[in-house]
Amino acid sequence: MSDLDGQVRRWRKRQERRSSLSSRELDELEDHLRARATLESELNAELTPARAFSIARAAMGEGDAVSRDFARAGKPRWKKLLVAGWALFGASFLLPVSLVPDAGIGLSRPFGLWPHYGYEVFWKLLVADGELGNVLAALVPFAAMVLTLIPHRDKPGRRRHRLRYALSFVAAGTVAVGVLMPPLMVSVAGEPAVAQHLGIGFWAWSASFVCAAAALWLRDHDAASVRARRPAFTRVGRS
Amino acid sequence: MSKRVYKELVAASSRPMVLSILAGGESYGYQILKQVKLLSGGEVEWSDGMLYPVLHRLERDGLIAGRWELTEEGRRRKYYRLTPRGKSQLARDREDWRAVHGTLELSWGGGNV
Repeated sequence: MSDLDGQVRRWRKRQERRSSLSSRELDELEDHLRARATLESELNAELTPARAFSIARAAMGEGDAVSRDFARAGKPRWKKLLVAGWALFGASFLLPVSLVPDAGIGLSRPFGLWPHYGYEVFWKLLVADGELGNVLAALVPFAAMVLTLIPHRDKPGRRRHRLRYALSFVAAGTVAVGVLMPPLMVSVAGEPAVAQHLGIGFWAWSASFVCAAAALWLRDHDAASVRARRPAFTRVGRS
Repeated sequence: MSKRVYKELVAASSRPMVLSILAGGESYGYQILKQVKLLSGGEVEWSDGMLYPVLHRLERDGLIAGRWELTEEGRRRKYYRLTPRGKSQLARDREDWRAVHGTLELSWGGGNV
């Protein structure tokens, strides 16, 4: 590894730790720094590659300042979608997942109906039932959402795609359940049976996976365009 | 001209400057910077850290579009090109700047300065 490569590697690691720049943004800045370092070397043959890179880095500015400038320029759409997905996911735990039209659509719990709120359903699946299938039904979507928080490293690999497909599958599944499932008739002791439809909590939960899956598709679409295609069509000259 | 263009004017002209350069063809960050310096004879100087947020904002606004390519050294490089929306914006910017420039020229030519 050359001096310059070592400097670049250290610079990237420092930026990954200290700035909020994405790996796409760091790729672009790295390309710029290398081009600038090459120019500095050409202007002054006595400069070592490492010194030339230091000059280029100083001209670019510190990571924090560059991060702020990037933040002001706005974040990619996929990040907003992912944030929206997480907001819906969190809200779904606090909203009613069941709706009894005759009992009102508001947040008040229809008398005797349980589970009613998202967190109650989660708890029931996780603990109250205790069956493996139900535990998996509670944990797999939750884990898929948590995995979206792991920093995106842009390495070609199946793991990232698996997450994208898993979220898409969960999103499609939950939407299908919501659309196709007939209302459940629920009997409460001493009360007439009521038809229980899926409530806003369920739809928020379902929409959270749609948003997260869409965010990952957008993000990966951006990354996919950087992979080498046939070299004859992708190679370009030096700056 | 010994004094360089002041930074507020540089910032205000950044959008039409980038759009104008990309109207001439696809380009990437470092090349755009070099072109700005060349076209202005060194009078308009952009800091290295200033350009990329501008490019990303223009991309977010749909005025330019980026795509990634691999250089012969195997590095990823992002190329930008003008979008149809960017072309329309450039036409509007050109009118605005010509109006400002024309007004200033007239006022200076009238012996006001």
